[in-house]
This record gives sequence, structure tokens and C-alpha cells, in this order.
Amino acid sequence: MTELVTEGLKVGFRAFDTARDYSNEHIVGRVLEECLKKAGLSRKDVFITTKIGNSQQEKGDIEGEIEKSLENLHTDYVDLWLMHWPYPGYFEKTWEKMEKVYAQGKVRAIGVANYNMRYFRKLFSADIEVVPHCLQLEHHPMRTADDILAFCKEKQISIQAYSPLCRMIPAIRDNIILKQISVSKGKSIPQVILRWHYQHLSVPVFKTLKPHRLGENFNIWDFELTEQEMRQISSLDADYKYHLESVSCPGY
Amino acid sequence: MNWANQPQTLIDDFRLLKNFHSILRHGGKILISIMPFSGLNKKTGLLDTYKYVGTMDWTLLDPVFRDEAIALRENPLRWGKKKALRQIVSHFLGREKPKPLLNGAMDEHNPMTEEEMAEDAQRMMDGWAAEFGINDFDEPLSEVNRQGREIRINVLKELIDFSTERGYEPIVVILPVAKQLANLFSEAFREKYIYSFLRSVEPEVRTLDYLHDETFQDPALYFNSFCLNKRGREMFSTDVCSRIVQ
Ligand SMILES: NC(=O)c1ccc[n+]([C@@H]2O[C@H](COP(=O)([O-])OP(=O)(O)OC[C@H]3O[C@@H](n4cnc5c(N)ncnc54)[C@H](OP(=O)(O)O)[C@@H]3O)[C@@H](O)[C@H]2O)c1
Repeated sequence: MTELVTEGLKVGFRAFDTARDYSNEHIVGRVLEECLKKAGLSRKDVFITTKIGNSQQEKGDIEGEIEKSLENLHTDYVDLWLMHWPYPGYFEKTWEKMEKVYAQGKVRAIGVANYNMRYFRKLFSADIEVVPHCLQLEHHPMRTADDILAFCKEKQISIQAYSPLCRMIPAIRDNIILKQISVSKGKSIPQVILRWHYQHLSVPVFKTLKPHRLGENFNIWDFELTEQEMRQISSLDADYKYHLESVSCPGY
Repeated sequence: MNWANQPQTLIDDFRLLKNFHSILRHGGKILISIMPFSGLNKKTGLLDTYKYVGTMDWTLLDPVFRDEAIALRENPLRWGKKKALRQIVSHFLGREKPKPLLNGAMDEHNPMTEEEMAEDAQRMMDGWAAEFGINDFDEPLSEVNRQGREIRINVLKELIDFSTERGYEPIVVILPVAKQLANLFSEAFREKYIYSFLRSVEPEVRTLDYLHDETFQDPALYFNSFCLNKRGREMFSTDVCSRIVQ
């Protein structure tokens, strides 16, 4: 992780995504602190997202959980705190408690992950005080989630796309439309997809374990997709999800 | 049931749905398979829970048996050290007799004769009578089974609501059985154990009733009086698939 983060910071990455349920918050905290120091950067130069998981929602001590996350991450605030799942039976209450934590300034923004329209409708009918600042959802050319994105636009909820490359599964890697656009732009398929995200204002949260790919994935600023190309990429939508929600969140 | 890898209750059907439904797209069809005793008070035990450990999310496992079932999965020797040791010894002595796992389920034909099928059907009925504490299938439901039915009416209702709320179409499929067994299900029996149970569940959903369908009573499609063999399952699944898209 140290090698990847060092390389990432060098290339220009400033955002880091973790979660309590990834069981690596404490490692992220330690490595970030070390790498920021080495790079001559400070905490305020980076954007840290973490998430509160289902088992913590079940325990109910939401305020206590943010303290643990802050301790794990060696920081006194996180930039974005997400509810990892709309855990049935708990999520409305969790949101109410997250609003309180937000009011205390320990988190700069609060949001939700993996919400679909059904869960947004439920949350909004629960008389909330703070509209989520962000939705993190599985979003890529094979899952454009148009209804959810339109709703978020209307409510001014910003979008973070997880699995933004759809894990580069063969259906993406070998797709003829993506290949054609990639050839015509002289860019790789991941670069084309990441640009597609950028152009419709979705922030891609991708992963790689290969330091050399960080430079490739960052280098998306010197070309533009036409409206037609954007539409062509969106036409790959098949409501396909790499991560099945109900497997991570039973009863979803 | 006929479709599942092992018989399972409606409650476990619902648990599995809660765990895996996201594989479906909007508009996906949820097939709820029903057999005569789906509405009764089947007791589940450690073995039922054990079979889902590692497949089903642990939070969905029956809380009564969960801890013990997980412990057994982690340390199978707990099933019985002596038996396990005996098996290890026979394995190394080359005397192990592996049990056929699928027991006829993958056969293309029925290994039973007509007579054996009739005996098997009677054995099934006797087995169910013992399992559900029924002395006479024509008598009214016992108090325990009446209470069990109330619980299952609610489970089925919840299962249907769960599916429709998420944009899926729930469809009840009443499973076929071989003619030898079907002959033992009188009209009064069917009414008491299946149709009145389904009528108590609201909202009403599309139902595919194969119990009266003679095509699927053909013994050649079964490996015993109750379970379809490979050929039967293929034919049955094809038929169901063609009907649900209509
Ligand atoms: N909120 C949630 O519930 C949730 C759920 C899932 C994920 N997430 C977040 O989203 C992040 C990313 O999701 P993800 O890992 O599922 O999907 P992803 O970023 O779409 O795909 C990652 C895969 O793409 C490959 N890849 C990356 N850049 C590449 C390139 N330039 N060329 C070829 N292959 C490339 C990586 O392989 P190499 O490592 O070999 O480069 C890796 O196997 C996670 O790390 C996590 O932070 C959130």
C-alpha cells in the first residue's frame, strides 16, 4: 500500500476511499500519514472517504463509530462519511444519528452508498434534516442507473462511482464500441471509461494494485468524448451489477 | 422440493431470496414452489441450518441453530470423532464406500418399476403423516398444524410483498408429482393442504398449477414418486420458462 499511495500522490491522486468493513482503515491511516509526510503534503491536501457498516448500524452507537474511524485514520475529521448500505430496519435511524455527527463537524460531508430509488424514497419520507451530500453506487457503462442519477441531479447529490471500470470484465475489455472509441482517441479503454465518468460528473473511485496503472488512469485530461460517443458508451447499459447488493446486505 | 438441491421450507426459500435476489433485473420472476405440505408446521433442525452455512449470509441463518451449525462446519469432527476416525482408516485402507451424492437425480430414466413407485408413493405419504403428526389426511388440521399454517400464510405474504416491492413478479408454482403419488392426493386433500392455503394469502399472484397436469405425472420423468429426474426437470423447467414469459 505504501508503494501505491506514494506513486498515487506523485501522479496527482488526492482522494482515498475506505470503509470500516474493509478492515483496513487503520492501515490506510498509518500509510497515509507516512506517505503524506514523505511527499511534503498535509492532511488538508487529501480527501478521505470512509463508511459505516451494517454491524455498526446494528449496534447503534453511530457517534462512537466515527470516533473509532477517526482514530484508525489518524485524523480529526473525514471529508466524506457514507452509510455503506441501507441496512433494512436500521438505515433511517442511522441517518438521523449521522446528521448529529455532521453537525458536530467531525465529518465534512455525509452521504449514502448503494441506495436505489426505493431506499431514497424511504429515507426522504423519514423527515430528514440533511439531504445526503453524496451517493456512492456501482456505476459504469454497463450500469448507467439513469433513474438514480436523474434523482441525484435534482436533489444536488453528488455521485461517486464505485467499480467504475466494471472491474474490466471481458464484456468491457472486449467490447467493440469501447475498442473503437479507444482506437480513435488513442487512449486505453479504462481511460475512455474514466473520461466518460468525468464528463457526466460522476467521480470514479477505481482500484488498481499496479502502480504503473495509476499514471494511465490519471491521464484523461487531454481528450474529450463527443456527445455521440458519450451516448454510445451509455448504450452499453444492461443494468449489470458486478456486486450483488443483497449478498452484501441481506434483505436489501 | 423437486427443484431445490434438497427439500427446504418456505422460510428458507425466503431467506435465500433475501440473500440473492439482486442477481435479478427489474421485472425478474420469482418462482415460489409449493407442494402439499408447504403450508404446514415443518420443524427445522440443526441439519437444515448446517446445509446453508457458507452459502447463506450468517445473519440469515436460523438463530436457534446458527452457532452450533457454524461450529460444526468449522470443525466437522464434532459430528462424531469415532465415525470420522473409522472413515479415515477405511479411506487409507481403500475400503471407503462413497455414497452416491445425487441418488438417481441425474438419471435420464426412472430406475423404479410401477410397483416400486406405488410403494414409494405410500411410503412418502406415511413419512409425511409422521413428520407432520397427521393421523388421517381427511381430518381437520391439528392445532399445531393450524398455527404452523398461520405462520406460513404470513411468510408467503411477506415473500410476495418483498418481491413486488422490489419490482419482481412472484409466481406460485404448484409442483407436479408422479401419477402414483398424485392418485393418493384426493380432491379434498388438495383443497385442504394446497388450495385453501394459497387462497388465504393476499395479494393473489399468478399461479402455475402442475398438480393436475398429466404430462408431468408420467413416471418416466421421475426417479421416485416425488422427485423429477434429470429429463423430467429439463422438461419441466422448459415448460415453466415458456409459461412465465407469456
Ligand atoms: N460502496 C461500496 O459498497 C463499494 C463496493 C465495491 C467497491 N467499492 C470501492 O470501489 C473501489 C473500486 O471498485 P472495484 O475494485 O470493485 O472496481 P474497478 O475499480 O472498476 O476495477 C478494479 C479492477 O480493474 C483493474 N484495472 C484498474 N485500472 C486498470 C487499467 N488501467 N487497465 C486494466 N485494468 C485496470 C484492476 O486490476 P489491477 O489491480 O491488476 O490493476 C482491478 O482488477 C474499491 O476499491 C472500493 O474502494 C465500494
